[in-house]
Amino acid sequence: MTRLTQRLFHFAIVILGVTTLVFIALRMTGDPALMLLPGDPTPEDIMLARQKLGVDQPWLTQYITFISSAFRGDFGVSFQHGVDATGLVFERLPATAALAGSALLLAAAFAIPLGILAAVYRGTVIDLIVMVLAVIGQGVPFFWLGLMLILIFGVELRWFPTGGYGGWQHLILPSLTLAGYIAASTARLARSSMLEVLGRDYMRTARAKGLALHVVVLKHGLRNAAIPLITFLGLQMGLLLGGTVVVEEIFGWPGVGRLLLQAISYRDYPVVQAATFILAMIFVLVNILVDLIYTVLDPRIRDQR
Amino acid sequence: MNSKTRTLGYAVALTAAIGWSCMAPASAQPTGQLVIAQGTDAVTMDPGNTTQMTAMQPFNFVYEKLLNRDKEMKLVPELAESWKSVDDLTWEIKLRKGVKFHNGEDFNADSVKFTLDRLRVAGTTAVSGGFTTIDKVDIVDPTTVRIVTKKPDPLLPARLAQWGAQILPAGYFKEVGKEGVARKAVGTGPYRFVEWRKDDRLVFEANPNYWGEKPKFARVIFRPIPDEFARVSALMSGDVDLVVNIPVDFVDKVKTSGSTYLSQTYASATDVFLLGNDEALKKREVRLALNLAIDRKAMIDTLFRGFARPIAQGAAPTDFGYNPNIKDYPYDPERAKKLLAEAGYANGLDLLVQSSNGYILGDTLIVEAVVEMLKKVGVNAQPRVLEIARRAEMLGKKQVSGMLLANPGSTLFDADGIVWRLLRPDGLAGVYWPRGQEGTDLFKLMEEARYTIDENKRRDLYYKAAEILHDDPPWLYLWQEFFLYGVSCRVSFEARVDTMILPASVSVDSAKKGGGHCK
Repeated sequence: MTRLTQRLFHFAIVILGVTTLVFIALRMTGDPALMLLPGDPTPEDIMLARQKLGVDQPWLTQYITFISSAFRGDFGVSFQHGVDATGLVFERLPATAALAGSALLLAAAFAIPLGILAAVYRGTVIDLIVMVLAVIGQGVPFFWLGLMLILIFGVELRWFPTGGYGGWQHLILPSLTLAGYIAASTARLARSSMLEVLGRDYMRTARAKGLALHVVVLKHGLRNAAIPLITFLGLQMGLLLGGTVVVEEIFGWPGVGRLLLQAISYRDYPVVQAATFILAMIFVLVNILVDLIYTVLDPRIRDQR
Repeated sequence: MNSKTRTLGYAVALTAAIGWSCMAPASAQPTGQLVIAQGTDAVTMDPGNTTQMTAMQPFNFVYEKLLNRDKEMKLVPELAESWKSVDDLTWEIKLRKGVKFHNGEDFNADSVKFTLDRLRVAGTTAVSGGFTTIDKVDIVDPTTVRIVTKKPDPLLPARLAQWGAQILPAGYFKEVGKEGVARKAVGTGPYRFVEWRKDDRLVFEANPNYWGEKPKFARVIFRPIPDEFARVSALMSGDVDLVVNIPVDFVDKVKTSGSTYLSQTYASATDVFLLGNDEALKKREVRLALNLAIDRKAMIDTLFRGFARPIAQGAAPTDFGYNPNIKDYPYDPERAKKLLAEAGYANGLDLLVQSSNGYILGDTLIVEAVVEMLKKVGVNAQPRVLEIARRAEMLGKKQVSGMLLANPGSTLFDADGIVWRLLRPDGLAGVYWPRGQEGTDLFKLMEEARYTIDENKRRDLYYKAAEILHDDPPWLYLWQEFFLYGVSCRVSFEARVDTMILPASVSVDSAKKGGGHCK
């Protein structure tokens, strides 16, 4: 229990740090009033706009207002959209979650079995094929992969829409693209952690007592190889949240990434602050979840606490 | 998606498909749908809170203004029936009768007064800068208003047709507030708001009670597709019918696919390099030399495949006050060198050449080309790329050093907006330019034109000003921008120089389609 509270305390510091950094970085790099006004505003226009947006106040005053309302989940009204910033982020969250989630599942569903196969049949043609695929997968820029999928399955074959949001058909190409982004490294890690486990004494013992290969690999091997894999996939969540930005741009997917990207270029402080806060929370929660999964998988970790 | 909604989805798709196949040209009832793809989504439905082109396009379908512009950019009545200047300060507008907003509210003098009162105070909305010449709005009767300006304003009618002048329903605004208006549009236009899933789709449907020509489509959908390749792909696959901003690299693809065609127009904006506060740039010889050192034709041909056209005065050929007698600058590096030597820079001149990346079409490529050409005449040009907020800050604080790529344009299609807004002594580019200061001949010409109601007199004043702007260039002129659309062969589309897509410019009239590119 103390360990958990300790972890939670760390996470609170992480969140506070992220939001404060974002708060400062935003204010150091541009003036939202200038981004909102047309072509050639007069100094008076700029002053009035800054007053209206509340960015004419000293930073400290702005920061105190920001922190105290952020505690209530209120990040203010978007400069650009003219509506509640937190609401804007939550509207987009399901789309991003669907994309990142299905990509993670797809990557795991394909890459882990392939990695295990490559480990079990190490040095054979199967191993070679999987590893060549993984190297290609890691070398291909994933935005290029997305464009090729659009060209082949959207324009030529017309199996799936070229972009947009809606039914499962819309989800296929973007989540494949994003899955491709992490599948290669996942497969390689699955292979190496399985190889390590396969060499252990308890695996030899299990085989020696007459258990079939697939039982040994799946029951004893996978359970032990899973721990580094889970850690890795948890960390991939951060990469995925970053990757969704690009995939959302290519496929016109209405997610948080695109909202954030646009908000950054227009210095829409409330939206950037709300989005980074919520994304940081998600990242932190995933990490807590990964910790919990360890304890389920490995009683030794549980006993340490 | 469960099976029920999926079945429903198929049913809708099937209905839409049947809608298409049954559609007769110029049918009385609106059928089928029109899907328009732009690079980004509108950020708000409030015309007062945005200056983004991508928001203007959907506004054209749902809102209306008192005046609008026809294909030749001539002002025509929309929600006004007529307008006239009563005296130097007063304009009388007669309003169309029997028009209703989509929520049932009447359109009348109250709506006009409410809308303009909201805009005319500096700083209250993002578009207020264009309405501050208005002193007050008087209601004469429910269908007549009088607009009084602070000084004589010949551009007042043009202001009523510009961005932000969309007439809003006063009652609805008061009922739902600014946030409500930002989320849901209620106007008088031929299409009414159905649904907006931000960054995914904005859906309008035909307004059955529309006062004017019946809408041609049952539904109009705007979809943002940020990636250029994806946007063209969506057109090729038939997912969308009309795509804006086709990159020049995709022109052949759109022309030869057999199911799509290209529509093009010059745009109201011009590309120029603003000249900053460097000592050297205060000299006429240097500014002239820069203009002679650039091979505009070569750049237009290689970067834009010939679509843009060179300019050599402030206004663009489509603006009021453009002087057609002024010739383009020749490409003359020898004379440029000579002029630089005369100005005392025979041994070179250090100059920053700046742009943002992706804000103006081809911006970083333009900078690269210009840097190379300037080096040939002995200018030590250094390229620099700016992030757009940094660029905005530079412009806002009027602290430009070296050259900065910009695309001034006037939504009023008038030399005042494109030239004098920037070149007046306190304007963005005027602060560094000696020829426009108070008391100079240009200053007198432009200030007189600004307050002259008589059109012919104003034109003459601008013609004279254009000669000065050619003789002593305030910046490095490049070209008038262009705009390319990709259009599906299922619809016909006519591009306009204001780059607006209006309900009237898209139809299913097959006679006007494709210019031979459709099979």
